[in-house]
Amino acid sequence: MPLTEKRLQEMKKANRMPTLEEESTPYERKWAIVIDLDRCTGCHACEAACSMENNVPTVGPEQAYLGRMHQWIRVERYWEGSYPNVKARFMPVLCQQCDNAPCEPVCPVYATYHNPEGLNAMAYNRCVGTRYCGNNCPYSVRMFNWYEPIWDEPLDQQLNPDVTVREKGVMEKCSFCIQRIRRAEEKADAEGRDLAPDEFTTACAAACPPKAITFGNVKDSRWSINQIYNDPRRFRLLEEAGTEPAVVYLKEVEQDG
Amino acid sequence: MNAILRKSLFAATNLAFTGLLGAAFYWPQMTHDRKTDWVGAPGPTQPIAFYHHVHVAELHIPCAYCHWTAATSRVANLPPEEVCWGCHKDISVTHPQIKILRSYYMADQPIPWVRINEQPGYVHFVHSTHVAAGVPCASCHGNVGAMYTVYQPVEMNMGWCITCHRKLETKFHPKQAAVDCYTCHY
Repeated sequence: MPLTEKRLQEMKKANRMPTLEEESTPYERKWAIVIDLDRCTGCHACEAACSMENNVPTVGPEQAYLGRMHQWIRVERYWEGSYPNVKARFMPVLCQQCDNAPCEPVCPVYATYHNPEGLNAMAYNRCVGTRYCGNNCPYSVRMFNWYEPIWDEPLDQQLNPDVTVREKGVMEKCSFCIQRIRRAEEKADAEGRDLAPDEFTTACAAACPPKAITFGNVKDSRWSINQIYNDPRRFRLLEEAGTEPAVVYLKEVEQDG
Repeated sequence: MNAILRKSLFAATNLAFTGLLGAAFYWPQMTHDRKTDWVGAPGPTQPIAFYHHVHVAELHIPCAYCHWTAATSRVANLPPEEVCWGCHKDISVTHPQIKILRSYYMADQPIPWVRINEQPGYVHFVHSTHVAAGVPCASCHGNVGAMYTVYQPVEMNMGWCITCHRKLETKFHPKQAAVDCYTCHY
């Protein structure tokens, strides 16, 4: 229901503020990602696809050793049990696009903010590089450009022209492939129609061989993400932190015996 | 801060070196630098003195006849020489400027046009959306029919974009003008 003047008056009488959900209701979109951990094989194809799509630079072994490597999505690996009954668990972690994002209120220049599509937007050319957002992120998904970005041959020949190349001193993170969203919107606009369901997807979801990652608009029931968005296996990363992430994980199914 | 420092350094180098040295002095294009120098009349001298005032004001050829990708793409194209040649193989072939065009066309060489309108790398402007929304070309590019050398009529900075977008903003929807940062900067 749109947040009209009348609704605001009612809320004022009831002595309450509109929630984040209600504030974003005029916009009929909320982008989300569902990651089915039962399907994830830990192949790192999403990392490779993301780096290529989003001009994510390489930093070299010395900087990587300092923990300054750039990965907008990383596949975390956990070992369980001891030999011979060892089990590896994988969890792709990307920017969770939190509705109640800890990175947003700490930015002194409003370089990161919440946009009406439910995305945690990052305006690179506004960023002054305080790194407060990265320090406040409980998921450690924000990367800082300590040096001018470099790409080894021949990776410098395949930069995506739709994505800004971030320069030194700028924080960067997953954008849910906003350039793909905008491209699809532009195509729909030029053809005079609305966005079709499942018309496009993010680079990580497109590259995932077992289709573990599903991207979509959870406010439009025609998108296939809605069939699994409220799955009984669903959980969100650090739910107790109250960040309201837009990324939903589906728990791994335990095999008997 | 970095960009400001570099800009002032750039200005200092330009002052320090004379024109020839300054031109030879290589300085990389930073993402925060403005791309175009052609704000306000007169525009640059082009390799061929293309008469927009004849084609637009007198002959009323629609913009999209030559710059047709504006309706379907992010960028509005410069027409390839074949488009010029399509008419000018028969029309005013003795004109000195058409002879220059002929020499380029016959040599199979591109015309080295000077680019007038360019946005920095962190701005993703889309022509097709604006054309679909019915924004006239002249509202940004000015009345090119009255320009003898084409120039950028206003400095196309963000405040100028936002002024128009705020007037048209009713809600965040692609059909209306959005003022979200993520509309252009990503």
